[in-house]
Order: sequence, then structure tokens, then C-alpha cells
Amino acid sequence: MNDYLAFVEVARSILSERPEQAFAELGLGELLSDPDSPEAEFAGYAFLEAQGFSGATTAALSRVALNDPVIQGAINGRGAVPLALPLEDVGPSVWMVFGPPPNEVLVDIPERGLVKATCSLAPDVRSALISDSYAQVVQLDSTGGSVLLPELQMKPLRPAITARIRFGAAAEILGACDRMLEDAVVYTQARSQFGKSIASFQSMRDILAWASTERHQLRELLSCCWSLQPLRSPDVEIAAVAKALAGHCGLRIAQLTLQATGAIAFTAPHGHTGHNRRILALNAVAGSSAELQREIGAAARQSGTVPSLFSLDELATSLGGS
Amino acid sequence: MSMSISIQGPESASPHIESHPLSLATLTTFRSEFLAWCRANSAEIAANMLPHPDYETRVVAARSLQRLLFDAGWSRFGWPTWVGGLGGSALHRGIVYEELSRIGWHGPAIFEHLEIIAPTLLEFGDPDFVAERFPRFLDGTQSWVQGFSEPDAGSDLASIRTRGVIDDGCVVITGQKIWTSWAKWGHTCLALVRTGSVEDRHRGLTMVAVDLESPGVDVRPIQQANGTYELAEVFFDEVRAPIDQIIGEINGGWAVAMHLLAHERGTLAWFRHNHFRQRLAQGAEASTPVEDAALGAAIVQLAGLRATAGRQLAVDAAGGSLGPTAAFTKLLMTRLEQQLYDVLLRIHGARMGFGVGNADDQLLHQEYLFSRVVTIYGGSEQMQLMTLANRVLKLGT
Repeated sequence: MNDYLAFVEVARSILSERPEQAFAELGLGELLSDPDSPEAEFAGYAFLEAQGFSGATTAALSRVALNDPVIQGAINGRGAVPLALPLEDVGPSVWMVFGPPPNEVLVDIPERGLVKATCSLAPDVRSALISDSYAQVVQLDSTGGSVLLPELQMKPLRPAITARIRFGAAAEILGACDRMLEDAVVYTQARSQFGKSIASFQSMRDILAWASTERHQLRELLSCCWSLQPLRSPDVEIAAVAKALAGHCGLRIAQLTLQATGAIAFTAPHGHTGHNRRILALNAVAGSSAELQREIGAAARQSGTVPSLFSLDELATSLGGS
Repeated sequence: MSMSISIQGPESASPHIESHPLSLATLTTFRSEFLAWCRANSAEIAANMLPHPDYETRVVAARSLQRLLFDAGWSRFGWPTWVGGLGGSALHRGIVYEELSRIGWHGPAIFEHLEIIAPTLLEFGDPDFVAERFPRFLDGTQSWVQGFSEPDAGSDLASIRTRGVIDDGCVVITGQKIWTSWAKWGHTCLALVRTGSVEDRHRGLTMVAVDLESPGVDVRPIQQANGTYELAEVFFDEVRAPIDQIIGEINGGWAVAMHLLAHERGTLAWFRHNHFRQRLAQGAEASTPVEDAALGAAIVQLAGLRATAGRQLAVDAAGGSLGPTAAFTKLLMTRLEQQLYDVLLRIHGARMGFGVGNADDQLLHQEYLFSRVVTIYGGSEQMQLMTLANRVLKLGT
């Protein structure tokens, strides 16, 4: 875990100064392409957390999601083409891409497999969601495209891809939460009303303490995930719970820190707006918090059990205990 | 027990006894052995796990189960040998509690203080005194309670007034405690008393173990909103406690209290969350699709609590300090407890809302009402938020 946090710190530093070069500078491209590197996803999640904190934009989530030797072999030379994720709530052929507007995307189409296709910004939602180029809503130009990995090979890889997207999105949401909380604390200490710092008012302190509590539980759950999850075959069930908690915490911290910071945080150029939109976008893909909670509840109802996710034995071992 | 364990009785507790080999094996092995024992003794265990809304019966069952676990060695794991334990750490206790919850245990009742008070006794108590008393706590013969709050000192613990005067090898205690959990059935009260001046605030406090059978002690149970008598007032009228029953230093009681409260706010959550999971699973079986979202939301929060509490337990087991971050755990635990029982009330309806039906329905009713007050005990929610604002976020005053 210390290695993870150290990587986050380094990535934060580079992303804040040279966001365009950070991915390459940290060697993540090679790391994620190396099927023998056990640190690949570990570093990928750490990078995504740092990206969420810094507010930078890269295609890291796509790269983490496709971090599989079979897929890497199939898309060889096309690593720069981002993976687009379905936005089924918006429409059957609407997709979200993280990063600048692309001409081509990779899409996973059930019954076809992994497909490379040309795309354009979706006209109906072009300006509705994103103002900082963090993510784009696109539609495919045609139903064609070239199949890079046929359904037969793609199907068994889907659960792990979904899990990696969920873990990656959760990590990035945590980074954004850290930033929003940090900014709100600084702001409330600097801002004075009634002749004193607004951080001295109990109501304000309660708001920030609750935001800190949400952030703490998300950090603790993800720390367990990073410690216990097999890197190449992540657990889909745990990833769903982690993503659901991340969405919940992200939306709640965005609201609490907006309340603490006041109307200035509701202006378009303010950093809070970008972090909030990033959380909304990340929450929307691969199962929103609300959708996943409903699914988790339904699964519990049908099985009559509640998942324990990880054992105390595993947890202690991961922390260096007996 | 499926494997051969040479059990040492409490009378043989001494620093010279070595830890049991199973405490040194992997936790996975320990869990497997405990499960094997549970299977082999399922009838006897089940007899002590039946739901009892009547607290008198419940306490008897809790003592009986504690004795059963002690005789087989399982309640002794996680405690050092010099107090009658078999070695191991809080993780061993965590596994025992988790597996008991899985098979329907409703919680330790009077022995919940084992997880709150016992670690503090080990850390601060006089070794001879602790070695003599601890085994009877472990074997279910005796139980301890904590006497902190007073009528005029709740969240402001440093303003307590119960006096403690050092006199002829004793602390002579006069005053009143209130909201003392399980005092009706307790044998020893860990009481925080004022040995310094009122102006000394937290620097003038001392922690003393007071025998509740002592002359001058008057325990008056309080009937709670859920009908039970878990809480009590405890009056002290010139009660004498031997000076070797001071826990920690004279006028050093604040540090002892903070250590204890960190366990009440932190590691206790691991033990509590196991019961929450069982209640959620039980609710899930009875629920309809209408409740899926609320049920799932509670399960997701349970996962956050499990991670937070589990990591805190592991830190404690490794000898780390719980510190102010225990406030996170307390907030998460109590918020979830209220959320959970809100969901269960929707699922179980009037059976739970009015406690009509079988014994478990009545217990659920008690638990629902109790969940309304969990944001008050062990340091109120407001105090936890203040702790985080001051000591974690460092917002200043």
C-alpha cells in the first residue's frame, strides 16, 4: 500500500505540471502493455487516482480497462485508440470516451466483440455534459467497423474488463474527492464572515467532517481492494461494490464541499465544477451507484446472503499481519 | 475442538505459560479449527443463541456461551497468557465473533465490554490485579462496566464531579454515574473520578476499578425506551477501592479513558458489523423487489464499514494506536445501524415496528429502537464530528 500511495504522489506531481507527458513519463504505456508486469493495474489505479486529484485528462482508464494480454495482442499498434463505454441511459448507440474528441474508438459490442469504428460527437448531447474536454459523448458513424477480437474470444474477458473499469473509475473518483475536500478546507480557513474564519463555525466543521468520513471509508475499501484483488483477474462482485460506494461518496462529497465553499464553487470556471462533472461522468459508466446498489440488493434478495467480500485473514495478511 | 488443545485453567495463568500453537498458526487455520469445533458442538452452541428479548434470560445465555467458549479455549485466544489467554491478537477474537455471527449469534450482551474495557486493563492496569481478575471476565463468571457519564457531564467528560479521595491505601469515591451499560448485571465498574480540582479539568481525573458489591454502591437500573434495563444509574457513597485498583496513574485517568473510548469507537465496529450483516441477510430473504435499492445501499455501506473496521482491527492487532480516526469508524457504524434498521422496518413492517410475533420479532423491535440512540452513546455523533474537525482536518477553533 505504501508503494501505491507513493506512486499516487509522484503521479500527482507530474500530472499537475506536465499532464500531457505524465502517462509516458511514468512509463505506464510500457507497463500496461507488458503482460508479465504484476504492477501494471496497481500503477494504473494509482495514476487514475492522481488524475482525479489533479483534474488532468488522459486515456488512462481506457488503457487500464484493456490491460489484458489477449486484447493487447489484438489491438497491437492501436493502443492510442480509446475505449468508448456505453451510456445506455442516454441511448442505445451513445458512448462516452474519456479524453479529447477522437476520430476512432474501440467499442465492445455484444455478439460482435471488440470493434474499432469511426465516430463523431453526439450532436444532441455535445454541449450538455462536458465543458472541460474531460470526456466526450460520441456516436458511431455506422454500424460497421473492423472486428479486432471476435465475440468468442471477447466474451470471457468481459467480466474482468468491467471490473477494471469499475475499479479505475472508483480510484479516479477518490482522487477527485480528495481534491474537493482539500480545496474546501483551504477555502473555509481563508474565508472570513462575521469577523472570523468560516471554518470556525460548527455547522461548517460538521459538513467537512462528514465529507472527510465519506472519503475515509472509500479510501479504506479501495485500499482493501488494491491489497487483495488479483491484478489480472479482478473480482466482479467486489468491483461492483467499490464502484457503487465510490459513486455514492463522490456525489455526496461534491454536494458537501459545494455547500462549504458557497456559490463561487457553482461557477463554470471553478475547480469544483470540473471535479463534480468528472464524478458525474465516472459515475455514469459501467453501472452508476444507483444501478449497482439496486443490483446488489436484488442479488441479496435472491440469494438470501450478503457478501462479505474479503476475510479478516486476507486483510491482516495484506497489512503484514499473521 | 477438533484438534488437541491443552487447556490451562485460569488458576494457572502466569507469565511463564507459552502461547498456544494455534495462536501462532495462520488465521485461516485458526478459523478452520474454530468452525470444526462449532460443527461438533452445534447443539450446545445453538441452545445459548436463541433470541431472548428478556434481558435476564439473555444475560444467563451470554454467560453460558462465554463459559462454553472458555472451556474449549476459544474465548482465550486473542489475549495474553499472563491473564489466562492463549495468545494471539484481536484478529483471533475477530474471527471467533465473525463465525459465531454467521451461525446466528446476536452479540455478546454483557461481554461486549471485553472488547472495550479489557484492552485498557491490559494496557494500564496493575499486572497483579489484572492477572487475578481477568480470567473471571474471560470465563463468563464476572463482567465489567464503565462508569463515565454523570448527570451534568455527558459529552463534556472533563467536567465530571464524582470525587475520589486517596485515604489509607484506598480511593474513597462519592458521587453518581449515569447511563452505565449492563450495570445491573456487572461486578466491577471502571469509574472515572475526580482526584484533582475542578479547575484541573481532564488533568485531575483518575480511573478506578470499583467492585459493585462494595458497601456504599447503589445500582438503580433505568428502563429504556425499548423496555429493557440495559442502562443504570450508579451511586457511590464513600465507597472504598484499594489503591492497586487504580488503572493507570493518579490524575492520569484521561489517557485511560481516551484509550478505552478509541476501542469503543473503533475496533468494536468489527464485532458489531457482523451482526449487521446477519440482520441484512435475514431482511434480504424477506424483502421484495421494491426494497432492492435500499437494501443494496445498506450493503454497500456495510462494505465500507467492514473495510474501515477490519483495517482498524488489524492496526490494533499489530500494536498500532487507534487515535482520532476511530471517530470515522464510530460515525460510519452508527449511521449504518440506523440506515439498516430503517430498511428492516420497511421490510418487516408492523411485526418489527410493534414487536409482535415471535421472540426474534421482539428482539428486532428492541434493536430498532436501540438503533435510534446509537449516535449518542460512546461519544455522541456531534463529538465525533468535532474530533475529526479538530484533530484530523485541523480546522482550528
